[in-house]
Amino acid sequence: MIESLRKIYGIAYLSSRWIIRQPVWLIQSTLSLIGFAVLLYAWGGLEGLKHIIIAWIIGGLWGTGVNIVGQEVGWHRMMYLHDMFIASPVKPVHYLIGVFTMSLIFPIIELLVMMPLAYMLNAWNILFISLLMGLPVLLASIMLGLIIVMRIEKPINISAITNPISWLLVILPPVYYPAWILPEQARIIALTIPTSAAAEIARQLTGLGTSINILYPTIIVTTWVIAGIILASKTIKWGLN
Amino acid sequence: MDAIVADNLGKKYKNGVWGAVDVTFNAKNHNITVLLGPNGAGKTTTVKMLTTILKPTKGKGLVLGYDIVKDPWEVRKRIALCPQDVRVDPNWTPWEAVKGFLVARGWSIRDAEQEARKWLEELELWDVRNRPSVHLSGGQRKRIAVAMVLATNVDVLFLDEPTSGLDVEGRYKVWKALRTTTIKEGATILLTTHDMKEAEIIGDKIVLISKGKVIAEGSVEELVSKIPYSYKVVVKNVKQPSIPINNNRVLDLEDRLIVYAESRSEALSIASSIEAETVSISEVGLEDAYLYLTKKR
Repeated sequence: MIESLRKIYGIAYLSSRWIIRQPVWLIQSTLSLIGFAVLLYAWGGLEGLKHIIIAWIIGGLWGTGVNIVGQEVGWHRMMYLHDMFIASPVKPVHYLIGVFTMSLIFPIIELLVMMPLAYMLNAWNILFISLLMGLPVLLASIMLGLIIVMRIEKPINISAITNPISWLLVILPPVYYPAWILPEQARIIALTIPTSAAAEIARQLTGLGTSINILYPTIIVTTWVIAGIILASKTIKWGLN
Repeated sequence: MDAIVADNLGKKYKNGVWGAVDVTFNAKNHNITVLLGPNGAGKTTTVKMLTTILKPTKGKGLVLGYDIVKDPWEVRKRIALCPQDVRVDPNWTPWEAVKGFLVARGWSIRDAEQEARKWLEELELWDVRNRPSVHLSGGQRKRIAVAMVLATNVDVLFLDEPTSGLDVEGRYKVWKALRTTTIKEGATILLTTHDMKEAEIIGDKIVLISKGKVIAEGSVEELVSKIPYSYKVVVKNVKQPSIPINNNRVLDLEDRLIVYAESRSEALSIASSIEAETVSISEVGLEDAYLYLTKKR
């Protein structure tokens, strides 16, 4: 047990060095959150601010998996550090938890920014339900990131793939805005995306959603998670390729 | 018991190309075995199979008695690998790289720090230990990777061209560290290189590999003894249209020739029979053995 924790810590320690050396990434991430909050408050008032909490959490956790975890693993593959980890007692579970733990620094910082807002709006229920809904999104996102990064032969351009996926699936579908803005047909299609489906569930559970049956986005999120796990388990190989 | 046994190992990649065809050799405990061959000979593929990164298409590999396919975790516990093209993360300092790698392998932070210090000093990286590797030279970065691997204290170390890109001084530092690991720590090392001189200096045993196949193995002396010649005559800028020597023992390098001789007296006789700008005579070495054995095959 202690040895496993050490292995996870070791991976997280090595993986976190880039954030320590380049904290400007954290600053950028935090400032963009504040920018979006101002934007939504300007157009939607206090109601807009409630939506931003949902969008921040769902979007942030989605980006953590597909972008940060995917890119970090891709980086290790590209630098052949991944081979060093395979030819060692580090197991895939240690490695992935280690990389994931490092990547949590982004959502944690974002959460710290969100807490005063949740306090001011007395929107703790939105915060907690969004966090709850963010977990399956995070899982699906990590799986997707790993499937992409482990499948491509030369992961040198990994960010060219994961960045658009991470960004588009948060900014385009109804994550930062409620699904009821879209026409019904478009809404059904938009809610097949895990981020928008999870955001819709969070909105419905906090009284901000559409009248669409909650079962629909729930099935979508569950399908993404199950499909992600199955595909990832078939794609991800730890050596012996 | 041999630390490493490769028995008819072969790997066919997805594109149909065989990276290694028939690799058979063994590496003794507490020795440095050098896998020597040109680029594309199958050295890296062999190392990747023995370190459980690639699954062999055929054959069998054992590391300390454990099968590389059936018992990969037993193998992984006992090995460390320095890949050929490894690049240490530019954000890592030497201290963080070695310490972090040891902790990731399950070491306590305290033990990891002690060992990191020892190997950073050994490889003369201690003075730059807190400098992110982006600010270090290519040679220093390569030495960090070597330090990460040597510090693991495992039984079997695999180093794939660990001195490529290093200057003379850097190479000597790594060679010294490798010999220290073998003699003082009792480690077994499998090192790959295409550099004959490096193989000659550092190896206890040399395994010659060409086109995915092992063509000969043994100590430098044993390999050299396989050539039917003892001397070579190197001739620069021959001034006569043809030379009266059997072509089988001549290596034509355009403006110079290497002519092999069975004895010193024969070498002297060859040297005196050729009119050239310069003529020198020396004993044959590993390079000659390699050329002869690959040509013979």
